Amino acid sequence: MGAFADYFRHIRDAVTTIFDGMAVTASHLVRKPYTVQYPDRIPTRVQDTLPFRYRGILDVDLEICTGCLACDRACPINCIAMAVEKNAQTRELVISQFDIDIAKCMFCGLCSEPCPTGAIHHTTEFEGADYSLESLIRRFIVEPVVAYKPKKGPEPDPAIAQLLERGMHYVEEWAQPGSDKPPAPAAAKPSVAAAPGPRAPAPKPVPSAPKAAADGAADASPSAVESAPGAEPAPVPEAAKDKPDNA
Amino acid sequence: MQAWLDSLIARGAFGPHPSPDLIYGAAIAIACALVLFLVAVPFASIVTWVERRVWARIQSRIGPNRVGPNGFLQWLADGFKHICKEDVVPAEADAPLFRLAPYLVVLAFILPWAVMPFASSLILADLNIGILYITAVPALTVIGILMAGWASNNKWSLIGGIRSAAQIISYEIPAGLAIFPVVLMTGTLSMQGIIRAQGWAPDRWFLFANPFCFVAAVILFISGLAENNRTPFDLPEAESELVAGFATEYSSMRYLFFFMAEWGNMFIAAAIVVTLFLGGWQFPAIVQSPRLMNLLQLATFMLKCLFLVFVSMWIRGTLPRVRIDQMMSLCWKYFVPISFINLLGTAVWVAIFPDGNRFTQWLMLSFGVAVVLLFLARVVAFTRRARMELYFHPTI
Repeated sequence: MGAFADYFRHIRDAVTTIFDGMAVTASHLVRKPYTVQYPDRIPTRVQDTLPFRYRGILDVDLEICTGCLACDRACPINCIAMAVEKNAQTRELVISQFDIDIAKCMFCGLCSEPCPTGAIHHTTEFEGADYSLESLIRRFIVEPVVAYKPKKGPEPDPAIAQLLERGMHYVEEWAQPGSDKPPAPAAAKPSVAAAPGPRAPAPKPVPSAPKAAADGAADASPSAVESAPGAEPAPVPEAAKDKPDNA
Repeated sequence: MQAWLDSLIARGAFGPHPSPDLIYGAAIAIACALVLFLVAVPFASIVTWVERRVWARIQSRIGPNRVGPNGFLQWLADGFKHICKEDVVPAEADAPLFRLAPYLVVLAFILPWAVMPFASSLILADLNIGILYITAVPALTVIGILMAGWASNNKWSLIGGIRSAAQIISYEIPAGLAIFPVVLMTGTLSMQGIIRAQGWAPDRWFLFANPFCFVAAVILFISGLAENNRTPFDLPEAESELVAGFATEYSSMRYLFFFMAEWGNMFIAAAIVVTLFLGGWQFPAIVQSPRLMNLLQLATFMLKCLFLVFVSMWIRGTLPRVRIDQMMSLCWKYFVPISFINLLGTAVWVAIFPDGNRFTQWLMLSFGVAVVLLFLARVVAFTRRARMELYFHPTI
């Protein structure tokens, strides 16, 4: 009797499970596909959708590079080749070579971490395919340039100030683990002229938003806290609000 | 065409004393064969594109959509790619048999089209043993596949070929037994005769004639899947264990032949089920013109077949592959006994109700409708569970 009941139970199981399985796949058949048709048939470029802290191909803003060689020393695989000389007459630092071998780079981010101005930073660019290894060496110096010298007080040149602001935002982000949102454009604008240099004392050292301070500002470097008033507290609560979703 | 043949005969192209009837007959046969070939081969090829799109949507992907509108010309690109490749014959292979095997498989796929009842007067040869022919001829595939597996001189190919032979021969038995209930009820083996015994309305289809027929239709469809090496019975070409089974050593056009035959046979299997159980080309007589009527019947037949082809793609996207012992036990322990019971049950049924029973037909039809509705409810439930919106868009 047991074998007989088993026989019909097998038939019933087969029919009911296939019935439900077919219903599951049919429900997928009427859904919208998830496919992202990289690279061409997408509404926005992938590069524009990546988070601010995405570690793409390295870029250098030579205008704000201080020539301190911190990145060169930090690079664990020596893919950064820098040459810095001191001009005897003008007592200025002159950067005569700044090459990054993207073919060697492992995108660890250790070079951008010690950079005092955020001159060396990752971009969201990742499409680096090329036909020769040689062309993957990014040479940033065409002719020797004078290294940037941090000013006391706000940066007078607005173009450089803008770069500095972006760079300092990059540096500052290290102090706030977990915030991966780019700064809100509205918050960034008013601070362009007043962006403080790395060693410049901030005009009004107001502590950043309490949530962020509790999260990560405990071990934040002084420069990061000081530059916080430049950015209005708007982006920080937003990042803090996003946290439960990410967790 | 007759005038052209007459002029050829007058010029002595066929020798001094030709027999016009023989020449006409040969010309018609060649023309029909060409037409069928030109229908069957692109059909089998286009089905590959449809299948890839259907799977893709089942897996929430898009599928091939680059070649032509919505990737429609993908089959053409694939075909050209295969034709352009080198036709490799392995050094240790049995070259003549190796070369011959794909042609036998394609032959087995082309031959059944001769008795396909596309419409009331659109059939190449309405054989009085049509259904017998259509079950016998595809068995040529076994010879082709076994030959391919043996001639490749490769263990995987051989195992694939032998599995395929075992599978096709085993499932011929329940498939044959599932056909007999219909033959019992109609008393004819002709494809057209069986369709004429049904009506256009679903309650007149043999699917709903009695419970035994319903089960027979399911068994016939599943056996058709097994005979064509379709998932879940694609053991002969199980990628994870046998590389590509009997087709491992093949390349270029010969490889293409195997898969064209496989996809084309899907249509044959669907057409058998449609002819026997789903009313074939039957369509309400709403127009007088026989030509238009034939077109409508053709469309009906093709739609029904394509639906079943779609179901077999859907099954392929749903079910995992069965083990070889499960496949054999399904055939011999379940299908064969159930088919015999069906045959006996139908015989008793025909003895009791020689002209069918209207009440049972309606009961079965409402049972079928209930199953479909329950199924749709399940689909909606699963869609809701994923909190996804319904998105009926076949071309994206």
